[in-house]
Amino acid sequence: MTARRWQWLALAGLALVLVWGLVVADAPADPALAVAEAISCPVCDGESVAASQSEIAESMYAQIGTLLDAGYTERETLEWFEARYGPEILLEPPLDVGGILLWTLPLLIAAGGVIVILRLRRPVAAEVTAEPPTRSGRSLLGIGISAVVLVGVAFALGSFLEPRADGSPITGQFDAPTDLESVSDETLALTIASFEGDPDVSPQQLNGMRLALAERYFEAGDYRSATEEFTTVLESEPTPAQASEALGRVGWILYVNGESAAAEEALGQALDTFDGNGEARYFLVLVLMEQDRGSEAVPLLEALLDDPSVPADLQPDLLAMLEAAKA
Amino acid sequence: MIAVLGTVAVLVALAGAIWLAVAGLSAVSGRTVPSLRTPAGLLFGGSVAGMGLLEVGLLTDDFSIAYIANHSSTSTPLLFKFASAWGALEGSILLWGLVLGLLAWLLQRRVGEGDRLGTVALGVIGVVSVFFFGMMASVANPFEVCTSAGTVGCLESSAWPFAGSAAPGEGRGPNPLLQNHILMAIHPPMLYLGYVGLTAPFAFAISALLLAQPGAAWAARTRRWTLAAWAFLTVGILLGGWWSYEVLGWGGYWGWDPVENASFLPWLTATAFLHSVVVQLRRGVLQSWNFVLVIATFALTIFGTFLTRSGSITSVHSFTQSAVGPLLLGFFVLVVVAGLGLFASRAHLMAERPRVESFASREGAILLNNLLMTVWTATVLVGTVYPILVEALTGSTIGIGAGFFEATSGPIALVLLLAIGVGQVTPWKASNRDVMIERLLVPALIAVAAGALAAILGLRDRAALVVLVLAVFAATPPIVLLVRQAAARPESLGSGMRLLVMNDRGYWGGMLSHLGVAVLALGIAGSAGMAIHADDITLPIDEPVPVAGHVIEYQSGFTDTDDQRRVVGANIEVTRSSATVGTARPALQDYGTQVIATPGVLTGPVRDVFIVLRSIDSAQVVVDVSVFPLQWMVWVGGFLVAAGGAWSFTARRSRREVAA
Repeated sequence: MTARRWQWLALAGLALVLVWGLVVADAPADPALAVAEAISCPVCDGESVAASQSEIAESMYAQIGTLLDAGYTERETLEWFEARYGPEILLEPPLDVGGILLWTLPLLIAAGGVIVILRLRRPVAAEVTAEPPTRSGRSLLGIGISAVVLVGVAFALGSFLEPRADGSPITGQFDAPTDLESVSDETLALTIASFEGDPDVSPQQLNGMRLALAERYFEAGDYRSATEEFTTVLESEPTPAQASEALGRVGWILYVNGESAAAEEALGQALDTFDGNGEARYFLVLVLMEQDRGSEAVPLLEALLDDPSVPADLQPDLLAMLEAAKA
Repeated sequence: MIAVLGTVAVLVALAGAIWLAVAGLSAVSGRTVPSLRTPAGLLFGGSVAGMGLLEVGLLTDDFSIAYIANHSSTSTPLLFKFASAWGALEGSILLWGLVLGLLAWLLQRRVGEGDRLGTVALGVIGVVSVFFFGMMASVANPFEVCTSAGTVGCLESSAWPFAGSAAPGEGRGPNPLLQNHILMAIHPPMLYLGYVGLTAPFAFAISALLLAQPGAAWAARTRRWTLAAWAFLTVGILLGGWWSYEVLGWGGYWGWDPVENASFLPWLTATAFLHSVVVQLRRGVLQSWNFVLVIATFALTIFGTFLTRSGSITSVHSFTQSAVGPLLLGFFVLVVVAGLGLFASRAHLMAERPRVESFASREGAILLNNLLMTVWTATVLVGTVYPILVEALTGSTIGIGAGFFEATSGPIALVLLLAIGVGQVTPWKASNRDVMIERLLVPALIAVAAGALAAILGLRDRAALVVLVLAVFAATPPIVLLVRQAAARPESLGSGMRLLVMNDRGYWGGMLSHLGVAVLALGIAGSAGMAIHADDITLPIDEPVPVAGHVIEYQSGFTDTDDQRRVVGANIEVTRSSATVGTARPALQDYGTQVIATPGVLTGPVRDVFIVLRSIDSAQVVVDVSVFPLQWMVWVGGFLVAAGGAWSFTARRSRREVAA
């Protein structure tokens, strides 16, 4: 046999081995990852649940695993999320008219391209005739593309004229505290509600989300809604730090509403529950100073000055208060 | 002072651009235009002075200039002060203008009197420059002076350079993400060299259309410009991916983010153009197609810039919304409509004979390449703008995630690999069976053997097996061809190969790029297709924990504080099969406004171990661990692709091209 024959033979033999390899290959796909990549994180800018590191995305990822373990198919898992968060949660284009067009577009363009290319082939020599120069065909191509682009641009302009919120120069999602800001209170409340009763989300995790929501109400001055959230937190197995935060802020709300005695009690409880709550200690100082009880505030102020978690720019105020308290 | 001089520099460059545009374009009517040295010099000189002044201001912390007050600070490290010049909108447009000025200056030296094609092309570059320097003189002025200072940064500013009366004591500093890694200082200039370099073939194409000279001269004269720009664009995209991998800690390098797509789109059309222009130069075919490609490529660079700057998409790359958005969109429309309109009005001049004799030929393979590249471009483009269109039409927000792009790009890329394998050694004009068997049998044998061996050794990932076979098949034919041709020469094998590669740099540069594509494909198949992720792993201190085929141990923490940030990180020792892999140092970098989880990456010849810190205290850390097989192949493959472009660039123009 010639060398060439041996080569063909070897190729055939190796191809058989390769085919065996392809047949026995198991697709090691991770279905949870596949689903997580197809769902967008509700609080992020265009990131999938798989890519995002926000708390909500993490717990959604856990939820995907639970559903799959419970026997849901990938499709059913996606539908579960779609039912709770709406169709915009899905990152894959929906299969409406536009979506189907989108998926088939590569094939359509490829087919069109093949037809154009096949016409490029030189006809049999005898048939070559001088083609008269013609404007029509390619002019139409140019005009057609221009028209399509113009329509597209008009839409883009339309969407551009509805401005989005100004953000920092880079609006990516890299840490949870920042991206939570881009989510409306309603969405956050809905998200929390969707996790209630979920065995995979611990009460403490839920409390974390509730405190984030309450903080917004608190900072916006909506004390009623904030108090509701804080009360829920206190009733659902909070960690000492969570309970302390809720108590401290409830104390401040009481104080603002003129109930100084109740406020003092709540703030005291907050500090008893978690001594590291600098915020509650600071609120208590303000309550005491307001009532001219400076001497009681002095040890609190000294503790605050020693507390590394207290922002540095508060230091001058604290020192001034300490002066006043001692006087 | 800097504001006054800077404004003057921008205006000088603008004047040079207007002069260049008017004088250059006047050659269309047949007027003989004297040398364009002076206007090109004004344009280049003005842009150099502008960038130089901005750098001086940045390095001397001149916060009376609003841009500097808002994007730099006294405590910013020197390198990132320097890089802040293109870290935000106005400065990045100034950088764009600087590269345009450089391009005009370099081109001008090759354009003599009576060279109408070159003169009009310079005029086109003048028009593009008028647009960019016009933006700097109006809505994106990098030299606006601060008129109302905040404690930190500037609150209000004015374009009138003598209006300045306020300078804040401290600047806001660059975005934390941009002062994290040296790559962020290099990635944007590389991209811009690529984007702006693609203006050269566009300008010559428009010039050829305006002058009704649809021959191949424009393509021949800009081939090396296109190669250089394409290589820079490749490096720019690659560095962006690398930075994302090393800094962002989301565990990847490419997320099909709209702005990543926006840089990929012109790369695809430019790659198609690099191939199809060879067909035109050698066989006289695809004349009109090349015009369409080059106009599309330039338009897509502007479109990409619009996407980044307009705020019409949400992306990690978005700059704050500003008035440059509508301007860029308008310029994009102008480029597309005027470019294609001009093309349509000249289309009847373009002869399409001689046509392709046989599809079983190099030109047939390149047609397949162009078809695939076009389909790929259209798919990515539509996938990118579809959510914008749907939102504009129906008001509902939808997202298109990586799933769509991966599902469509995967098959296209596989067919491309096959086409590379066959096409690069197919003869021009027409091929025959014996030649193809001669050139492809051994590569096919090697490729199938590699696949079979991998299967026997236990590779059980179907997609990875397919990619492996196709990638080896794409990489080997040129090597086999090189060895055979060198063996047929009188010199020794080594020096024969060297001579071949040195003498036909255009061809062998292309082969090097193809090799790079094959390596890149393997890297992607490994790092993306076979990655292992393990999230939320708790590591008590000094306690080895098995995870993802490794044993990792939290040994100690470290902290580091400077003016900008507080870094808290962990030393995590990684071992595999009781051999030490290394110590990963993932960290949380707290910039006050933002916390960045910088991953600890241990790169190895077989796999990368990638650890992201989620939380840390003295008793334990929580980490996400990922294992990315063959990750280094992504970087090496990408750089080989660019290196091939650079090698082709060093080729002297062949006689054939000069004659054309």
